[in-house]
Amino acid sequence: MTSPLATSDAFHRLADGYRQRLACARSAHAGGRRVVGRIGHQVPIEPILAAGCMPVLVSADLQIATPVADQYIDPELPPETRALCEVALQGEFEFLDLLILSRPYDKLYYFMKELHRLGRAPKFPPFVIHDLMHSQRDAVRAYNQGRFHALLDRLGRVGTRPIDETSLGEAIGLTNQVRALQRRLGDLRFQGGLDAVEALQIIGASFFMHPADYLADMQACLRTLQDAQAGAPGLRTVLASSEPLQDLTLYEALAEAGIQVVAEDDAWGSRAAGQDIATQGDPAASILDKLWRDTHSSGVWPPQAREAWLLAQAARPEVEAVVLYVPPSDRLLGWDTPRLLRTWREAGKPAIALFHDVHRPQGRQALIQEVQAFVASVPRPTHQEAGR
Amino acid sequence: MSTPHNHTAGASADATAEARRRHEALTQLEVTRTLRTHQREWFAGLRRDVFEAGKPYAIVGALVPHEILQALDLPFITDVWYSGLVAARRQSGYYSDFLDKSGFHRNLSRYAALTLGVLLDTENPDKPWGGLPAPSLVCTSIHERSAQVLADFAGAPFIPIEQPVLDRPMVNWWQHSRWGWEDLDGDYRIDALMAQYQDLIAAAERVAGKRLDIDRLREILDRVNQQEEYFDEVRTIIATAPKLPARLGEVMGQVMGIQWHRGTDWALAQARAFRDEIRHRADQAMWVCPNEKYRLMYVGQGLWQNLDFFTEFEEKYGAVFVRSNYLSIASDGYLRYGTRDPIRALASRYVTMSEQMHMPGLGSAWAEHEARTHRIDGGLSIAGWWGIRAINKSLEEAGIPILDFPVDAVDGNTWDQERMFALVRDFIEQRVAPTQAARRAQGL
Repeated sequence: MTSPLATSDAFHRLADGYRQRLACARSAHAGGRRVVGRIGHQVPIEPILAAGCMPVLVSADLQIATPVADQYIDPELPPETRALCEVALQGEFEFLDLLILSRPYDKLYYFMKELHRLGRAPKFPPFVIHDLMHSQRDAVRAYNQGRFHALLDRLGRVGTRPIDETSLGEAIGLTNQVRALQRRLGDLRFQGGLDAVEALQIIGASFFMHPADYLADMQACLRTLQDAQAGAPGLRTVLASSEPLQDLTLYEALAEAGIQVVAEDDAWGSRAAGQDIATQGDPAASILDKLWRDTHSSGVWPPQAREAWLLAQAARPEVEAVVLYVPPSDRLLGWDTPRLLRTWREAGKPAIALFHDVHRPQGRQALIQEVQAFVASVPRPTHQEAGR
Repeated sequence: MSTPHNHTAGASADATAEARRRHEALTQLEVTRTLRTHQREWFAGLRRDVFEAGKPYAIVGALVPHEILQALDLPFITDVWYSGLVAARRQSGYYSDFLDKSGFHRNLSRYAALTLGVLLDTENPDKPWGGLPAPSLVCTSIHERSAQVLADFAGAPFIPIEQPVLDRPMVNWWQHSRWGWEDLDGDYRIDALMAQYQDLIAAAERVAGKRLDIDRLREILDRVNQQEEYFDEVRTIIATAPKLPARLGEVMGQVMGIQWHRGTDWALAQARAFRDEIRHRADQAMWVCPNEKYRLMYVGQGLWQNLDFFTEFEEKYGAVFVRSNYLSIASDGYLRYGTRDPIRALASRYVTMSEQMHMPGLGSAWAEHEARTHRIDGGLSIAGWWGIRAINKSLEEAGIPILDFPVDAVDGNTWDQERMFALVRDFIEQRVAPTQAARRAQGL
C-alpha cells in the first residue's frame, strides 16, 4: 500500500532535512546567522533560540571509517563517540559559532579537549559541555541549576540578543507548538496512520531545521495523514535501544522482519516531544525542569523514573510486543534486560532482546532471522498478514 | 553442574591448589602474610557479626567515601575488591559464565559485577571467604548499573554517586591535588558531591542506627593521609632504588588490602610495616631480580586474575614490573590536606577519582611522568578502562613501547597461558630490548 506521504512535498522537505542534517544550519550560517550545535538531546533548544541563534543537533553516521579517532578512542566506547570525533576533526562543524556537548557525551568532550590541547584539532569550533545530572533527586538540583545558568551566560555571549524572560518565553511558545504536533504524530502511529521509517524522519527533521520552518511542513504532513487508513500490517511493537536511534537501519531491518514500531523509548522518536514546557513562572526554571524531569536518558535514576514511559507504552493493549535492541556496544541496558523481559513475559506481553549489531551485514541478517522467528511465535488473530 | 573449581577456563581443584602453592613460594614480604591473616580474621569477624549476630553491612564501590561508613561503625565490603578476590581464586570464569547464563551479556563489565554473581549464585557454597550475606545498603557510582541489580536482589536501598563532568581539566593534576584541591576540582563540582554525600550519610545513619560524628570522621581522614604518606614513601623507594625491592603483585595486593581498610589503626600500622619492609629490602639490596635489565609498568588495570604470571620473565629476561596505578594513585589521588571540613575534603578526593588515571591528557601526562620517575623501559596495557588507548599512544610517542595485552583484568575466561607468554616474550625481545639499547646508545 502506498503511503499518503509519498506525494507530500512537505514530507519530502522534512525527509531532506532529516537526511541532509547540516544543510539548514549551513544555509543559516551563510545568511549571516549564528549557529549553535548541540551534541545530545539534553542540550536545550530554547536558550539558543532566545539568543537569536539557529540550533542544530550534531550527529554522525555510525558507519563511517574513523581512522584518526581510532588512534585515540578505545573500542569499548560507543561508535558514535568515534564517529563524532572523526567528523569534528575533519572540520565538518567548523562553521558553528559554538558546539555544546551534553553529559552523555562527556567522554567525547574529554577527547576533544585533549586533541585541542595537543594542537591536533585546528578545525574544532569553540565547544563547551552542559553537564545536567539526570538522577531525579534534590541532591543534584543546585548543581543542575548552576550549570544551566552557566550555559545561559555562555550563550548570552555568543548570541545576538539578550536571553531574558521575553526571549525565552517566545522560544518556549515556538517549541511547545512543535511538541504538540509531534504528540499528535505519535497518536497516529498507534493508529497505524504511518510507518516508523516515515515517523522517524518527520520527528528527526525538527532537530536540524529551525522550528518556525519545521512547523509549517509538520502541519502539512499531519493534514495529509488526517484521513489516512490504517496501513502498516506488522507486529505492533514498542522499541527500546541502548544506542541512540539516530538512523533508520534498525527500523528498516525490523520492518523487513515483520515488525511495525509504533513507539520507541528514544529522543530520536517518541520521546522527542514529551510534555510542554510550563508557560507560567520563570521560563529559565521551566526549561531546566523540563530538561531534568521529562527526559529520555540512560542516566535517569531511579530505574522506575527511567522506565516509566517504556513500561506504560508497552502495557497499552494495542501494543503486541516489545523489542529491546542491545547491540555489542551496550554497557548499560543489558543490566536491566533480564528484569524487563521477565516483567513483560510475566504480564503476557511477548518480548525479545536483540544482541546483533544491525549496522554490520552479518548482524543485520541474523537479527532479521531472529525477529522473523519471534514474530511467527506471537499469536495474532487479527493480523494474519504480518511480516509479508 | 559447573562449579568454580571444575570450570574449564577457571581451574581444577589441583590446579588451584598448585597456583596457591606457587603463590606462597613466590611470597617475599612478611607483610603479605600478615595481610592475609588479617583479611581472614576480618572476614570471619564480618561473618560472625553479620551472619550470626545479624548486624547490617554495606556493599560499596571503590569511588565511595568509605570513611563515612567507618565513622559510623558500619561494616562494608568494596565490590571491586571482592571481585578481585574472586579473580585471585581463579573463579572469575565461573562467575562470568554465571552472569551470562543469568541474562547479563558478555559485553557488560565484569570488573565489579563478579560480586553480584556471587550473591546471585545461591546454590554454590564454594565462594571466596564463604560468600556474602545480603547487604543492608549499596552505594556505588551511578554508572555501575550492576550495583542496582545487586541492591534490588538484596532488597537494600541503593545510593548512586554521580561524578560531575570535569569541564576544565588540568593535566598536571597531581601537582595540585594535595593542598590546591579546591582550585583543582572546582568548588561547584565539590559542592555537587557533598550534596550527594548527605544522602549517603542519611541512609548510612539509618542502617547504622547512629549519627555521624564529624570529629571522628576528621580523625579517620587524618589517619588515611598518614597511611598514604607511607605509600608515597614506598613509591619513592621503588622508583629510586637501584633495582626493584619487591614484586609488583605483592605490592599491589598490599596496597589494595590496606586501602580497603584505610582509616583504621590496623591499616595505618600495616602501611608503616609495609614501608619499613620495603625500605629494609632496598637498604639491604634484597632485589627481586638481581639480574634486573628491563623495568616495566602496568598502564591501566593490573592483571588481578594472574598476578604471578610475570615472575616467569624475571629469570629469563631480567624483566621486572615496577609500577602500577594502584600504589601511585594512593598518594597522588587520595592525599587531601586541610581536613577542617572532612566531608568537603572527601568530596574533593572522589570528584575526579579514577577518571584522572585514564582521562585523555590527565592519564597520559601522569603515565609519562610516572614512567620517567620509575625509569621505565616498556609498558603493558590491559584493556577495560576507557582512555587507555590515548595513554598508550602518548607513551609510544614519548618513546616508551607499549604492549596492548588482550585480556580482561579479572575474567579468567580470557586467559590463554601460551599465547600470553608468547606475546610478552616477543614484546620484550622485539620492542623493549631494542628501544632500551637505542636509548642507551644515545646516552639517555
